[in-house]
Amino acid sequence: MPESRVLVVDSDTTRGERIGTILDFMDLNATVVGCVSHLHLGRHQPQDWLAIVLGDIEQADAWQTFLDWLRRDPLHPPLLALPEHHLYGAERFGLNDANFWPLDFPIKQPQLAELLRRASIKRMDDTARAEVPQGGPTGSSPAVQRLRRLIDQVASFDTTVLILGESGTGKEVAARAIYERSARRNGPFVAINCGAIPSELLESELFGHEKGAFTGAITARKGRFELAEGGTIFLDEIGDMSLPMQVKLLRVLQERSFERVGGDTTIRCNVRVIAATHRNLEESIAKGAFREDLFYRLNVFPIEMPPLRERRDDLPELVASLTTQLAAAGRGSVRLSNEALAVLKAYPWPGNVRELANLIERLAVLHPGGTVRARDLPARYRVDAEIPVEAEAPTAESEIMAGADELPANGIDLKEHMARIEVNLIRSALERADGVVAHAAQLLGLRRTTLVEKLRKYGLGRDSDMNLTAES
Amino acid sequence: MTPINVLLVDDHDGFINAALRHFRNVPWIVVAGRASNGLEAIARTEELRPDVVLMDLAMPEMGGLQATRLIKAQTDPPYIVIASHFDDVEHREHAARAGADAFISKLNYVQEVMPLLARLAGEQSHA
Repeated sequence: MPESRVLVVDSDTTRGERIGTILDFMDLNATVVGCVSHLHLGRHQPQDWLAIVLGDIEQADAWQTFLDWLRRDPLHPPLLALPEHHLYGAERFGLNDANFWPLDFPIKQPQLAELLRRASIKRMDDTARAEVPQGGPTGSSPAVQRLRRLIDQVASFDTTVLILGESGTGKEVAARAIYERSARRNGPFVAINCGAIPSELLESELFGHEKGAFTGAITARKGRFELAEGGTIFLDEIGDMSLPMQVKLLRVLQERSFERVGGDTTIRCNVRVIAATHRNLEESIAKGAFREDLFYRLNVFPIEMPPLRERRDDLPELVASLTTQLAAAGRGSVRLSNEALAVLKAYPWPGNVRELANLIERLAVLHPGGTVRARDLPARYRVDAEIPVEAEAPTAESEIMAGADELPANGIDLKEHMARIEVNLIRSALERADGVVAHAAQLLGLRRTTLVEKLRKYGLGRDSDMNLTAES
Repeated sequence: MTPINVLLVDDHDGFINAALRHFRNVPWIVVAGRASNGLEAIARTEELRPDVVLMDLAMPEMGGLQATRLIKAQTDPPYIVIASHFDDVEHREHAARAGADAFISKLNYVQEVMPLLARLAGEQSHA
């Protein structure tokens, strides 16, 4: 059944039609035109096509108009150029090599299929890269300032970094920030999600394979370690890696060398490793699911990503940065009203910054150009704001109970931690007192004026989510 | 078995019609609706509250990965299956990253989707 669309432009109509037939036969949907002037560009976007097969050009000016239209989209599909263009290459079209792929004629179906598969992957990779914010984590809370300090500290060394934190806290953003600030920034950044790949395929993904290494290995293929040579590899969800794979990875970290699957040549590698997981690896070690020796190899410089609920003050800044980014990428613009922001500030954000980013993008799509009010937010975000006492207090309490009296293995920022406890307790007290400051002060054993001072210090007084009543 | 409600998302009528013809003969599958791109899929999912969304990967306007991410941002999101022409590690990785619950190859659609839907319908009946 046809799925992806391919555009074929060839004034040699016999050849164009033949290529169209081959594409149909491969279950791909082909649009064949003799000249781009037959297309109504107003009704299309460059990304409507997965790839553009380019043959003879009939009208140079029409082609130039088409090319200009195409290049305006940075994520436009690649040109699969038929032999008459091979000699001139990408430059003639003002394209870089990444968007200009030679295609042989007569068509060899495996070559065409492989180019189209790569075009689809390229589209997904480019889109994903455009979604990861550049320049590192956003915000000015103490937690994010500390995070940025850690990133700056470790970036310029080749140290292995282990990034820990709940799902959606932006571990890849941190990894990319380290890479962008490192001497390896001109080398490749190769990311792989070890949890998303079936364990039997992971070895060949990481280390590559030789031709005939297993059924389906028709050609030799480089693995991600080879693709990352001279750069940085980001091993996400390392805690999901099987034990046999952990042994193989440990060897790479110790000896900086590996073999492709089915190969006996040892390949030396110069790759910086950044690993990440949302799991508690110490617990996994205790359960026998993670190797202790690998943990120590990875845990050279651990970075803990703060959950969003512990840096709610960053929310307005995060929302502003996300909406700007969406608008810049042409993915819609949206504004949030103050009360909508206040509602979001009260939400516990189990999915962290990723959940926030997806919500903002969804709002931008559903309310293009508009202002989102609190009541436009999906129900689950409003629930906590309407019954804040029940929703908030237990979280705050359990956080305090869990973190107060035990020093984590890699130390703690005491000032920040104390501040967080203070803010949580103040919030809880205010909520229990229905926002009446004098009552909340009693609950906390403080004078009213002292609490007012603290509210000012933490910027809590301005929060409309608290519904503060200054006097009782 | 309790019937499960399915939303079909694909930009090709031919594909949707073939799927409709097949599902018509299966008593425990109810096709709740259809959508022809990601944007429509988001609106229809909110409106129809299907149990499962069968989502094409490549579509004009908005593709299946972006739509999956944005549908998963709604309250109680459905189970989402990405159907892709290309089936390899990279495509599966991107689908998982977008938040899809399962991945099937379009070249082997019926053979892969039926056991998956049967399992979901079974789980729902026991829940």
